[in-house]
Amino acid sequence: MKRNKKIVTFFVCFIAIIVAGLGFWAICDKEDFLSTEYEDNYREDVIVYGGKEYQYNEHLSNYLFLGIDTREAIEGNKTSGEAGQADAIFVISYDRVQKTVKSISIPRDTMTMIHTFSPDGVDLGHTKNHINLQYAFGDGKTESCVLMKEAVENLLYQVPIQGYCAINMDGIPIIADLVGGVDLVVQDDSLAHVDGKFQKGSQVTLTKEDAELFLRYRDKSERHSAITRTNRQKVFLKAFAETAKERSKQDAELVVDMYESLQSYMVTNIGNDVLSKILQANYDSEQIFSDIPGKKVDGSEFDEYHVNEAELYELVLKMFYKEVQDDKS
Amino acid sequence: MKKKIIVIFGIILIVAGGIWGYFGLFHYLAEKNAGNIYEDMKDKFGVKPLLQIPTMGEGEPEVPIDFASLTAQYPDIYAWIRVPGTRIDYPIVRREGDNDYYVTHTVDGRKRIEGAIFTDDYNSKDFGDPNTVIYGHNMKNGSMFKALHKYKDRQFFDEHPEVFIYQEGRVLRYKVFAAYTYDDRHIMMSFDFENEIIFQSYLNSVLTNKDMRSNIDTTTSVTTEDKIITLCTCSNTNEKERYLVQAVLLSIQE
Repeated sequence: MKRNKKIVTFFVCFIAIIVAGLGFWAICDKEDFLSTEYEDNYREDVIVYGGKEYQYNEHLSNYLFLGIDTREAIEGNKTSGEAGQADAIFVISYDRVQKTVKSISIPRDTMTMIHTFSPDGVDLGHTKNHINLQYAFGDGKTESCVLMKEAVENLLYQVPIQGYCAINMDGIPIIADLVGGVDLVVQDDSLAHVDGKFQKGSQVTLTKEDAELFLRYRDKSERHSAITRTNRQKVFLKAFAETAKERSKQDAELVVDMYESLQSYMVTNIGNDVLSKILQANYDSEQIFSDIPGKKVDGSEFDEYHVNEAELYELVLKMFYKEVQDDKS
Repeated sequence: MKKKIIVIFGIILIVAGGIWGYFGLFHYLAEKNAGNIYEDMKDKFGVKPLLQIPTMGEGEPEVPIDFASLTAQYPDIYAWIRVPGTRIDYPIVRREGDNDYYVTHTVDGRKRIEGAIFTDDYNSKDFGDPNTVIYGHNMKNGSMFKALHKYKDRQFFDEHPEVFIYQEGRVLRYKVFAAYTYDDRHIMMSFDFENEIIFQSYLNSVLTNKDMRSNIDTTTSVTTEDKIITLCTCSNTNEKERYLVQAVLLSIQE
């Protein structure tokens, strides 16, 4: 009996050692186990720039604002419909914690990857072209906005955009009127020959009629006049936002009114509560208007704007990411 | 009786612990000394260190490696790779008919975890293929191709675009144009780069890759006329991923 037990115990020991040995042998023979080194503290969401770690700023909500022109014919491009094109393109980034906004303006001639379709809707894949054409490859409504949103997200290194708002340029004078005119200082002489009051440096109040001219006029014979126009649009937007902000303090219904009046000119998935918050937010003084870095190039037929990717990468990092604070101490 | 059982279990534990310890120490030393053989080789064969980025010009190229005596001892060595700004300064080997050999063996044929920097026999030895894929392990101690991960930093990527490959009597100068994480598919088996249409669509997919973690230099033109190299190592996070640094051939001096 005693002997039997002894034998059993030794046998168990023997088996255990053999099994352990086999286990080690199996683990060590797996080359992957030995040669692939994973960093224990590596975090998927961290990116490194200049030796510093950055993480996406989760406090941000980003919205795409588009000014749509349906009057100007789409130059020389076969697109699926008469959706119009996106002439003013802005991404507005709202910090839900700091309650601040900042924006990036994207020149309409920015050359980037856009998703193209044949006139009967066959997917032709992605190709490099003017970003404003992307809108025209959709239906002029939600589809166009989603296409624009995707093209802009891609341009901005996949920064997520939560909402879009496309406003037909015809609607702008209406909201300018609604806030009782927009006061601004003229930044350049691009309109001086059209109307004498738009001299550089002069103070003007844009009414319904003036706003239209101010926002849409472009001398096509002059190269890169779209950039000059974008600059005017930025001045207008900032002045408009300031006026609307002031007015909405007195008139709580203003945003709702604006939303209502623009209904037939606008395609959006942003609620008026969010629009109201964006309007009420403070400006991030340093970054209120950033531009996509790049240079104007004369294309064979049309003006082109070529992005400086290295600088854009830095801008995206600065606007949408924050440095990781080392909390390991 | 109880005592006996305790003693027996004790013995089992000690033996098991001993085995773990032995393998642990073995593994630790293997990790710590990974790549040392290549440092010794550099000393032994008088490989001149890179002091400044060479300028490419006319005439005889300056090859800092004595290939004749190296290949006499290690016949599989056929080139040498240098990436200025990193520790990457290694011989490149290829074993005809056994592409897996240098995954687990150093150039001197010893079974070591760091293996060697190698290419498959799907690629020719003259870097004249549309895409030559060069492999190296991602070693914890920073040796072999671990340093490729530095290219994740866009600033480093922008500031260190040079790669040099030396061969007997010739120097090939490359410019890094892409660095990104990719899946673990076998690149040479997945794409027929000799087919211009396939090569073009492959290049398109690389060059349009755009996110904060993929560094692509869109200012460098890369076409199907070009010859590229793909430096491939393991990812830091996922065994199903590889980290790739790709460079385009700018000039050959020979």
